[in-house]
Amino acid sequence: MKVYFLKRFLELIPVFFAISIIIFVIMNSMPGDPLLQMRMQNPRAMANDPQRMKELREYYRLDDPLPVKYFSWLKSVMIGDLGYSSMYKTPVIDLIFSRLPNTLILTITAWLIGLVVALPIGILSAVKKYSVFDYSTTVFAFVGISLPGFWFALIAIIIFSVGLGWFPVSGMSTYGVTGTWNVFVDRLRHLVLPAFVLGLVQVASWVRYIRTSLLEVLDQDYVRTAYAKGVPDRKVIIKHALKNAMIPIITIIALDIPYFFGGALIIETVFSWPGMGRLMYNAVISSDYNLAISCLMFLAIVTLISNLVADLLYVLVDPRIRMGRKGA
Amino acid sequence: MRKFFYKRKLDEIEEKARPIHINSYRQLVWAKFKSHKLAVLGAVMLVAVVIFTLIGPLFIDVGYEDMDFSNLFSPPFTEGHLFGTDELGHDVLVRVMYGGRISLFVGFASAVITTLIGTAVGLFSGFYGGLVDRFLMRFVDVMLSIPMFPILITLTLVFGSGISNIILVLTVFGWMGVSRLVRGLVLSIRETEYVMSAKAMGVRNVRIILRHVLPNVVPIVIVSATLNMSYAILAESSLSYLGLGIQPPMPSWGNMLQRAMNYILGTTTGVNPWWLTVFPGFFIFITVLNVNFLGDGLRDALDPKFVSES
Amino acid sequence: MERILEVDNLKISFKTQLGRITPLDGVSFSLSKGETLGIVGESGCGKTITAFSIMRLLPKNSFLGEDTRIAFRGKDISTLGKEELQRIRGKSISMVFQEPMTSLNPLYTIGWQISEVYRLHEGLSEEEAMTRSVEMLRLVGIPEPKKRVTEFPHQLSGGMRQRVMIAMALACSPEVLIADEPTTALDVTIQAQVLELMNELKDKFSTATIIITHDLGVIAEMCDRVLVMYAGQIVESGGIFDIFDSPMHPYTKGLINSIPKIEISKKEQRKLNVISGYVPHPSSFPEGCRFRPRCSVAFDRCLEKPPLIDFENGHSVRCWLFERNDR
Repeated sequence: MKVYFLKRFLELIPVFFAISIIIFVIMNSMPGDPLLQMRMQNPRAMANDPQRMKELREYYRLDDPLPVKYFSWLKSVMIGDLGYSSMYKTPVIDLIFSRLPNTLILTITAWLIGLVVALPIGILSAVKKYSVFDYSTTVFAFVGISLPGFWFALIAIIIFSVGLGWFPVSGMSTYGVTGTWNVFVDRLRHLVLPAFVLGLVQVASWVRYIRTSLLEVLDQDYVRTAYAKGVPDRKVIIKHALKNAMIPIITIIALDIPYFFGGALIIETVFSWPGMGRLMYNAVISSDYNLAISCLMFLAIVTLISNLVADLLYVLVDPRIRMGRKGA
Repeated sequence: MRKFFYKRKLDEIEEKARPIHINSYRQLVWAKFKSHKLAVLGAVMLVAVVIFTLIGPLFIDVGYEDMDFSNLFSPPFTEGHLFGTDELGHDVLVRVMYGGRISLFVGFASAVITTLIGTAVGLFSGFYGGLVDRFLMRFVDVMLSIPMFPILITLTLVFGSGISNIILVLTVFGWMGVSRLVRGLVLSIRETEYVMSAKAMGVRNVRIILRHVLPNVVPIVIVSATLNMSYAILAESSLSYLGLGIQPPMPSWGNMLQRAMNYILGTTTGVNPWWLTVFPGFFIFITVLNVNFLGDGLRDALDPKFVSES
Repeated sequence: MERILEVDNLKISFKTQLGRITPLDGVSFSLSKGETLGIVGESGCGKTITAFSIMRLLPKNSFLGEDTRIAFRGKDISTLGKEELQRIRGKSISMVFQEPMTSLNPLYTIGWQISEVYRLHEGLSEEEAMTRSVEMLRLVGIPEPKKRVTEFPHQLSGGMRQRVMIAMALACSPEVLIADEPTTALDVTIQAQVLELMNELKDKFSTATIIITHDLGVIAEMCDRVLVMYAGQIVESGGIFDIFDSPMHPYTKGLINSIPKIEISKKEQRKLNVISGYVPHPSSFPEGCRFRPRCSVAFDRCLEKPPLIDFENGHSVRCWLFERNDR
């Protein structure tokens, strides 16, 4: 099994490089000259002095051919030097680390909400196929995947924040709240809407997937064998069918983790949540090169890690993979 | 007839269920599609939306840029403005219609282009195989698991905004999903006996692809195209909402929502113009919903092995 | 001989999104203690549905005929509640399925899967059940049973998996064993081994057995009586020698004739005998005698539905050719 892991891990390395190249190329195709940016932000220091310009260009290697730029960037990333953010004037690493926990709170909560809601509903609708419950679940699932996330967020704000006043409109916390309990409740109130919006949209696609996976398993011969042995219905579903269905389900749930980060981007924007998503968005539209490219690379790494995690889970659950396809 | 698992009597089945007379694949597909209520609903509603956006403006006197200064922030059902007006007195109804044209066009065009490219790549990769195929697919696999949205945002800045640029943005990576699907199917078709015998008889590869592989790939491709379209519409409206997609004054459902967001807490006059948020978003939702219904129905209808219990 | 299973007028319909299909139309037979009954027919004739319906293993959109009765030891099990049915399945009536490759749960050891039957029906502890499972594995001829018991299905070959299925089915010494094409998916040599095993075991446990197959060779090896099915009906039934020596129904004759014979003289060597045409789909069964379109000796009476005509020696046939005028 360890060999399997090593193999998968090694396979991801070239992919990592390929992705980094793509991200690098895209980022470098963006219009805008970093030096121009710096000049706009600090006109006095960057007075129209051609000699100084030339020196700066050389210092920052702005005119080097693309591959050279790529490798020097890669080198600094490897040692952890992500550069300075031109927008915030702080090292990119600090920015990322300060915003990351916020996004994690949001993402993990939404993920948990999604799981807790989708699993039982998906399982029940498969077991009660074609019942009223199943049909309504299907419709609900369709609604969920058709809803524009940001629109759902806006409507939620209109109804629950503006209309009913139950939750705050934006941000992560209210200024000036003191006391551990009060702070905790305040944070919770701020978390509810964004987490639910982010989570519920995912529930819709998960419910359908869980239902389909379970249905496929229920159609298998070995489930029929279990019935033929006289195993009671509930046991067949839980012990025989579900365990098998969990394999694809777990993989999808793990593989969807990057989507939570991506979805978080727009939700964070709507709710002004101070997370990495909003950071990424601001970086990209302000042409903050260092910050933007680092955020994208971060996203890529999250993706690769979750792929690996999905593989790990798959191996743990399925003995056929665990043992390799050996003969008797 | 007694029901096997439950104790109810079901004599109505005798009258309601008609015997089956299916003679051709086409009949089977049509019959299955017709019995899928949501799909039929989706198809009908979609046609309705298209008509609404294309023909609708002919029935409205106002243009999408006309400003009615006597009616700023008017709620729905105000005289002459069924869906209300925005902060500049634009009629929301007509803007929703024009916005619909744009959003539908972008969605449709992206779907068609990505499907064409993806199918071609998938066919080639699956059929010819080899190192190119393996590398391509591994690459596609991981690219697909990276959340597309941040990448799309970056791409809009590279290519710029505007209709054709947005379509470009959506298609650059959009073909990957289809290609993986098609390639998988091609792989299994390639190993079937009739393809192998065609090869053994010396039929040229291109002919094999066109006559044997392609017709079997078409159902999956159609379904994939509909899913692509719903994704494209959602993506375009998200991008426009963020100010990156279609730019004003050209209306798109997404950028209408962007303007609406400024007033979500209410205007300076204390009015909350919820209709600015509700209507455009609702139309996005309804359109995508119906495309999804349609796609689901098509998938069930075109799958030759699938006849569901009712 | 005591009749352990009596199937009376078995009629099964399915409700699908395209309409109602009735693949089984009034099948009746009985099974006596210790007897081996064969049900033979081409694919699509309804023999598998017949087998599944006894233990109610059909999907939720299936319906039973109003007058159908399935009596096990005299009691109608077609109306039994879920719990009582579950007590019978695997304990008094068991089944062996066609596809050994997919009939075992890939995530559990074969020991666990066999002992499940013991834990369920005989209330044994895990240890006791495992010991019994090892015994059963030995009985079905699997070498090193103690080691095998901890293995997963994918580690066994097809033939061995089928033996495991048989072990599972016979674990609680059921009174009836239903085997649906038990050897069809296996290699010929393995087939012979498995059939031999089944013969041995059914004698040992004196289990009444129903064998479903399309292979007349298997019928000849294993069965005391035979039912020939076509298009959802029984077209002929009788003792094994009667059926093979003096088949009555044109379909039965066609089946027997189509067995390729190796030892024929050059003079007799001609084309392979086939029954022309195709098995009709349940959605479009022909009017009258369902075999009429493919029958070489059909005549105008055949446009009417023929009843099952019984003869004294237990031989029955559904064909107008044998209409007796003394009724």
